[in-house]
Amino acid sequence: MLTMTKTQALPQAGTLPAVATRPRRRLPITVTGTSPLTPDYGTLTSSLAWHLARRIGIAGTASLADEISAAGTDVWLEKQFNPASIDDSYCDGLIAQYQPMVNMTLSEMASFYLPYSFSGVPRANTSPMGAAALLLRGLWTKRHLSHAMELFWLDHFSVPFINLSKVLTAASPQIVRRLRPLAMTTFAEILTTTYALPAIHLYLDNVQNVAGGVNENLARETFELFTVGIDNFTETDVQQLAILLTGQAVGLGRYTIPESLTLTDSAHVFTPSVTIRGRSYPNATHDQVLTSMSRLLADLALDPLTARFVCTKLARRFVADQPPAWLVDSMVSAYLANGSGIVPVLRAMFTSTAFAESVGAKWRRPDELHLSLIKAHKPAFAWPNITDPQAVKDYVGLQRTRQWLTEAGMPFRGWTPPDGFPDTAAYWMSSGPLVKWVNHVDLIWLNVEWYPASDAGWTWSGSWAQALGVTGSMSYTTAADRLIERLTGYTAAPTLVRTEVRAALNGGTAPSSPDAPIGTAATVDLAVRTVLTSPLFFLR
Amino acid sequence: MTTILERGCWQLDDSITAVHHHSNDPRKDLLLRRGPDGSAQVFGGAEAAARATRTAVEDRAIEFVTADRVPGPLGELARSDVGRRLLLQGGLAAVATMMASAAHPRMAFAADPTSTRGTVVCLYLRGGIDGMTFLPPIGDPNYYATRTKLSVPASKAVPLTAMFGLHPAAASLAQVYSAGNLALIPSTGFIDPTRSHFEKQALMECAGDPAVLRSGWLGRHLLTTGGDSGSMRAFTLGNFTAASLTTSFPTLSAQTLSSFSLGAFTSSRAQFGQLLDSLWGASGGAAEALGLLTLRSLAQFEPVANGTYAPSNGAVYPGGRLGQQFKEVAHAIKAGLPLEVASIDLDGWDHHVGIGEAGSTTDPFGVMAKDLADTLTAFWKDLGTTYGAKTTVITMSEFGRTFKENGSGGLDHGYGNLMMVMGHSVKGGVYGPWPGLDSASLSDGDLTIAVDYRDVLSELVATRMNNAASLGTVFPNYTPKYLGMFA
Repeated sequence: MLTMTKTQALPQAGTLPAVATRPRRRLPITVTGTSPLTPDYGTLTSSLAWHLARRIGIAGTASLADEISAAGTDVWLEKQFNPASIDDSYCDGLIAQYQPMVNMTLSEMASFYLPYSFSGVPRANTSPMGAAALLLRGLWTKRHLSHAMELFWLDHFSVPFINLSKVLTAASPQIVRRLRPLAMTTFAEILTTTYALPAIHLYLDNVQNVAGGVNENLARETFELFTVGIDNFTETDVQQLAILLTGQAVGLGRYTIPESLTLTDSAHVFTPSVTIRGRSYPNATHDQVLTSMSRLLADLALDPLTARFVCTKLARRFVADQPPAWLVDSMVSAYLANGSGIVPVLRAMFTSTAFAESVGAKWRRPDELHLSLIKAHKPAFAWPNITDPQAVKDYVGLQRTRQWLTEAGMPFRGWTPPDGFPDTAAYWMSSGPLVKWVNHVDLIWLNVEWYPASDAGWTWSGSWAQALGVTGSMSYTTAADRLIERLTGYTAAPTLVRTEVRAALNGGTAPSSPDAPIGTAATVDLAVRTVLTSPLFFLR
Repeated sequence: MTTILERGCWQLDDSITAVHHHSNDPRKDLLLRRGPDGSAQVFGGAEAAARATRTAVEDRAIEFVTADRVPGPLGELARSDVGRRLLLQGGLAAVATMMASAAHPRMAFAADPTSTRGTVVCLYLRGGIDGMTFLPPIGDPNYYATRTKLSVPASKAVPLTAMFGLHPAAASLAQVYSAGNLALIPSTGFIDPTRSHFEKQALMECAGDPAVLRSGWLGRHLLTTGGDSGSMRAFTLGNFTAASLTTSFPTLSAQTLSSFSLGAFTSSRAQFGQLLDSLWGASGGAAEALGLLTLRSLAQFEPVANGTYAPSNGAVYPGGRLGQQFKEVAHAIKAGLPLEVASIDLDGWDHHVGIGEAGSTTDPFGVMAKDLADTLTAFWKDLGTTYGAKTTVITMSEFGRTFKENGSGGLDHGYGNLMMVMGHSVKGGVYGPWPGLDSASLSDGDLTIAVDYRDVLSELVATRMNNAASLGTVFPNYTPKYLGMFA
């Protein structure tokens, strides 16, 4: 069992930690809290490193916690705030090799897929590939926070990549490619870029919003889902914005995905001006429309109501389902003082006492459960040398992972409504997905390989005992505590969980001498199943 | 035993109300309990029952057994988490019942007398179905005057009355109507001007002010008729509990009942079930409630999940998910499960585009309309008169669509809309006035709401769900006017 010692005061809300000039090794800080979801477990204890790993990493595992701990939490965080400072060439290389289309323009895709293309456009639906590239990044990126933010924005401007006929072949890889570099910049830039790309216009019917047939769908969601939020706009605002948006996405089609949109005058409804949320935007000429659109998006991005809306969602994603009002206030201040800058907002959040005190307050979503499981079981597995064509489909498309996520209620990048995946425990704590998870763990426990063993690169020869550092010479108690810490990050395990894990290590019955050596590591798999199917593994 | 609502101690933490409105439903919200000193404690909705419905007597009983005053195995059992819960739910007799069932102790619940209420299937058509395309007002000249492209020609509609016909893709429902088992309410909805999917769905499923109530109308019905006691009473076919079923205790949700089965790969289901029971049962809070519910549901639905089923009376369910879901509900009803409420979602009705050529049976709307109509018709046939007399299906949708076409071959978010009520105890026909489509009769240019949707639901709750006494709780601050839809 690791000993966690509190060695430094936690940063207070609103104060910025000093940026270290060089990495320093620090002992981890201990954070504690009682989860509102498992109150009878009492106080949960975790290192701050593990707390960060669970909250930021989509695959929040011991290996990430160890990395954070080795760097020192404040140094690690500062590097994450500046993703360009982190070498991510290994992950980028994997994606370039196996999901190259996410880096391509439409014409590049067409030539790359020449054998599979028709009339110069790719026949393959690249939407699942965009989703697969995101899963690969979740498993191998070193830019953990940037990736978490990338997923956050893809949820904020939610466009289903998969299972929706009107989301088009090349639009979804394009938004991954274009939004990822912006994930840690400003909301103004992210908003502007989103509206310059086809995906949102295709999904929310702005393609059909033309003179003679105004379509309000994108206009309404612009206010309600993307910026100021419900109750902060009128029906007239919707109608006026719909007019401003006419003719901005004409001619987009399944294979017609430009890198930026153009205004088609013949499809635009010209008026002297439109009035949106009390401000007038000229709308009489081509150039005025473009200028007004830029100004409107900037006005919306810098609106204090937008700041509160975005910051509340961020605090819900990373801190608690019901974040404290003072925390959101401090994040809003940082947002407005920095021109919608994301890093100052994240810094205010992650260095707050509210974050440190939120141990166990979040519930893992299916993608976090599943990717954490893969990483925990195969902490060192490298990319395979793929030779089997079927394996290419299964592995590179991560088809089975996507299939499982769909069955568990989280079709990856396939949420149908435009409001993004829900982000509260009350939603995800549901019986159907729980049964799916339990059966999934059961299958892995029985050593049914998740990925077919046709390629040695994917088949890790080690065992759970080896992966988690448990040996037969450890006592039941030591081994149980280590298993729980290595899989969940919680130390001083709740009594009953520890008791059940010790019993599993003894083949299913409580050992008569918990402090005696187990004698064998053969029962570790059973104990692992116990931990993975306990509520502790769900506490993010 | 008092309930959450009666105590009035549950309030909305509205610090993030705006964002919550953006969800599909209000179930994601936690509950805030304020103490006498103003202090606040937040609970998951799942935990509310245990905390809110416990009486002082029960508290003393728990104290008694947990203080080691009951000797022997029965006392030990009662002091366990299982026993504590069973004590809450029915006394030590239940503990004895539990002891007789070794594998899944928590699942040994007696059948609940409330099961005699029969079953209501609530089908929510997400996105806002265009009622005037599904049930075109073929006798209203204004319909054709304004809907010049997207109206269903009278020649293609399946006429039901002089005023209304069915979309040709929904033709199968005509036989249900002819049998007198289909009530149609063509101008209904919730009188609120919002045209947001998410807000309107939340409002309708709450059926009250979401700023005050964090529960759904079906959830409040369950709460006022026995709560979580006894057998499984409700489920959602979908991955997550329907907002209308939100209450202080969780109800089952599963995409399909056939996929809801534990340990497909394990050799020892019972042992694994006990392990889960132990791990989740000790956590308290929402996790404990979830674990309990899941294990109990697994046992309850095992006959449906693992059994085979052949529909009766020549009923043929469509091959898609909706058909499968209704078939499973029929299976559950015929298997004798004491099911009171099944909630099913069907999304994809947000036809800003894709209404298709009027009357075409291959356009996107027509494909969905056919799936819907054929599924309902198969369900009606399959249940027959015996089961059908105890089963009622209702359809809801957040709003109708704009009267005027939007120029994209579609319709934007509108106002008044269609509801349907189906069952052998239904008196078929068209209910409520048809307000007409002349400009003076429209609301902001769209079909108005002539019948408050709570009138439909209230009659359902009072007549089919035997809960007239609690209408004031299920639909707060509302005095319903019944339409007389039930025999």
